[in-house]
Amino acid sequence: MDFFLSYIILAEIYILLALSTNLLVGITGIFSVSQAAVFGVGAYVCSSLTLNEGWPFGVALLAAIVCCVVINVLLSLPSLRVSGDYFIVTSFGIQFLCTAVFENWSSATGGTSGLPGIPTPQIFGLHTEEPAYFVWMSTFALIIGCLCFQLVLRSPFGRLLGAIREDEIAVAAIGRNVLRGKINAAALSGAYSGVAGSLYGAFLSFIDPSSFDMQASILLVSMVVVGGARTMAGSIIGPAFLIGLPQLLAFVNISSSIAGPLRQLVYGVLLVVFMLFRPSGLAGKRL
Amino acid sequence: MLALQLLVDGIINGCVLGTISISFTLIYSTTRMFHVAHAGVFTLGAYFVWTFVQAGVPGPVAVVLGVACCMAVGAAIQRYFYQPLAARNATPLVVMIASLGLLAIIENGIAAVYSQNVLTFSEWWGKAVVPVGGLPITGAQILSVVMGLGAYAFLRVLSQRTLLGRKIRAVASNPFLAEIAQVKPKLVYIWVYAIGSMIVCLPSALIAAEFGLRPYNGLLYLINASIAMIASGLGSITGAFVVSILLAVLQNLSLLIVPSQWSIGVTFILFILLMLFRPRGLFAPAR
Amino acid sequence: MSSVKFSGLNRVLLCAAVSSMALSGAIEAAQAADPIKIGVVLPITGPASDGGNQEKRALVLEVEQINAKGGIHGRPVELLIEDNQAKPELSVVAFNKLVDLEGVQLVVSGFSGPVLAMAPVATRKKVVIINGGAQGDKLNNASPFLFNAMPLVQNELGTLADFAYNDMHVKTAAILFQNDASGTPARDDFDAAFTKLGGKIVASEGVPFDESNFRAPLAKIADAKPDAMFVMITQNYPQLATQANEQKLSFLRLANTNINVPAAITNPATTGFYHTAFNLDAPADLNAAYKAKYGFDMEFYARQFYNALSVALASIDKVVADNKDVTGQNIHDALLEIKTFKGLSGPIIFNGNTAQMGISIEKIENGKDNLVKVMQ
Repeated sequence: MDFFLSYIILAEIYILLALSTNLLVGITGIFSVSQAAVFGVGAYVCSSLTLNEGWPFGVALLAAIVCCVVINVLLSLPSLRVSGDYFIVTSFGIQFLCTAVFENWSSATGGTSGLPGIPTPQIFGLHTEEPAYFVWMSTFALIIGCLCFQLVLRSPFGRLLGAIREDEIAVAAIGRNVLRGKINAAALSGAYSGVAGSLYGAFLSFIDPSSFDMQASILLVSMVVVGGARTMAGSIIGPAFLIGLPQLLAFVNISSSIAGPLRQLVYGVLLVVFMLFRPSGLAGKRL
Repeated sequence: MLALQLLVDGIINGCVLGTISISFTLIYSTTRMFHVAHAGVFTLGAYFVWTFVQAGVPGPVAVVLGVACCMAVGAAIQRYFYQPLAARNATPLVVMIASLGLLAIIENGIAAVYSQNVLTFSEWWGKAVVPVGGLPITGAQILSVVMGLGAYAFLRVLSQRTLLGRKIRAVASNPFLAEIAQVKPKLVYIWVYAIGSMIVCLPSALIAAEFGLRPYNGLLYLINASIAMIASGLGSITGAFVVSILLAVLQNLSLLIVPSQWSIGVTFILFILLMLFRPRGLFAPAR
Repeated sequence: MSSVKFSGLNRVLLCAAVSSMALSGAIEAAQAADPIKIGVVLPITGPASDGGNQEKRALVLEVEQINAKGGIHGRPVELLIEDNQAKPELSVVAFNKLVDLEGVQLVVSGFSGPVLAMAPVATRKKVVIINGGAQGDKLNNASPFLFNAMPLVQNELGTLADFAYNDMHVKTAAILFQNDASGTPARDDFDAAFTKLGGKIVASEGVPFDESNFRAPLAKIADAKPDAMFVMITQNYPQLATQANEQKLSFLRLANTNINVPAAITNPATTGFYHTAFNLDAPADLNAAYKAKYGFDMEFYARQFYNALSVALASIDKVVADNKDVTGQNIHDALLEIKTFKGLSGPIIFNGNTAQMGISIEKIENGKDNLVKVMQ
């Protein structure tokens, strides 16, 4: 059943992204609304290397991870200087800037028309263009991602990140390096985005800037929030739920032109209700 | 000639942006809540005015009625939305996400009621062209400048010369002390939301009268307005207004060097650099 | 494997049971209950939903009309509409859902990004996609199973550049384009065609989707002093024209078929625009039916998608008439075999995967289009 498989593959990719966003937003407390931009960098780097340079998928994937790590660390730098709402607005700015680059740097990104015909990877001689094969690859990536996430959560490093979120000054006062903690978190989060972006490009064999815009960034944050911040379960439930939501809402049949806005409205109501009555999300911890 | 034209056009756009920015600054500097749904109130304002005009109310009266409606909406949002959130000790992140949800509800509610199509006002005197010093300026553009300066003067007088203004400043600098001094912060917050929402109705109606009404374009205006607020160093009405004009002029003058599609990127990159190197804003005293 | 056996067994039982009846009659009766499913993947929600719903309205009306006439050889047509919010990833999920769960063999869609994302899947699954409205050049060779029911932007703008250079003696031109998947190919194609003829592009300014304040880019274009300005946006032509008139811009104004909507043409500000147009007027009775159902005249993309679905229905009709199974491959073959389809007001010809239609140049004067020249 390709339909269920393609839904699962996309959900897995978004779970990787939610883990990435969770690391940054939920655990470290760097509230970034530009994570779709980093996702985009991963997708563009990997896709253009396999498409235009003929690199094997594995090598292109590594290159994408490296680029995303660097970019995410750079984009998180303002959070070292400004915090709270200042950084939110800065990251809105970063998101718009990246969208402008994706749209206008046509020679590298294909511009607004996007990049069609991205080759699907061959792993151990298996063509993964069939979702039945691709799903093994994305599931493998997801398992590795989840394991790392759990390890980090339980390690001293994870506790340091939690402490940074709670009280940055206290962490600095006891002599721990806040700067290094934040940079490491941003790097790890970037690596997740790099993997997710590479898989996304390879699975769809087409990417364009619309998948990496402001709406996508807000969706990622919503996934983490609705699922629940700071837990792995939250980052799995959130994307699975929000990607499935349109399918569920499609069963509610309102046959007129107001159906569209009404469905989007439900989404807004959902966010408000969660924030009012259950800010920890479906399966998370206090935000 | 081109430079002069871009400069004048930028100043005019800046007055519109400045009006939005000072209304947001008033709310943010007093309540410290990142009221993203202000973009929704902004959008709603024009639809109120349009509805009254359609019902046969003369233009200026319709604007007054629209302003009153926005005031009520703003007060209601503070009383019935943010106060319950505050009662639950919501963190800034939770407030911000709830506010994003509210924005989605307002925008899609408008789209469901008024359709997603662009609505327009009929002919009015603002569409006539008045050549000023060889430049083609419309009545609406002159009105923009008058509106911007008027709103700025109004807020200055309110904050400096009235009892309410003193209370607002007291609550903004320290809500707890203000409460001890018999100033009810909750009531002041409601007033602040009412006044901010009232002011934002004006640029909304003016933009709509010139370019038409759309349900979904409030967020970009608001992000530009909040960038002006933060870049100015926060809290100061004068700073926000001046930086809004600077920002709009800069965006326009950047066309002398880059094609239009890059101008938005130029502004955001300058803002990000500002946040990196002078994170307390242009006019804030150095620490 | 078991399902094949089962259906084989079924057929044996069926044959035995109806041995006394006329066999062909029984099969026809069995098929009559079996609807022909056509998938639709369009943005019903989200920022692009205005166009998507326009297109959906036409498709719904056309299917009602054909079912009122008894369907395709007695088989009713059923539309299965999926919302993709104009996003590539949701389009692929929707496409797979239609094909896997519903056994759809033909999908009607639009918008470049979504169609380009579905194209490889269509090739693999041998399911036909009819692209009703997207004109991006990359669609031409995206998949053998993808048919574009509207000429791509290359063909259209080559014609416009030719008219501007040879008929209007335009030597320098400026481009004002919408910076998205529909606008940037138009910019590149007009630039290429005009430069090839010997002209020069002196300015090229992009604006975001749904922009309505064009004053700054217009000022910059005016400063470059071109002979003509080519505009490629998807809406807000009245605002653009009004602002150009404010600045008293005297150069020639050119546009593509996007300006061909009543809101733009009837607005006095757009007087003087030369633009390309496809032969695509709705016949009076069709427009009346549309107006009766929805309350307003048939929009441009509604007409275009009505045409696109006509192509699909005619091809399926042939497959059924030839007594073949309604599969993507058979629809694909039938479409290429028929080649020339009857459009709303002129033939639609498929010499490859992209339709050819008559293109004319019109001039807008006082709220009306006036035919200037018919181009080939």
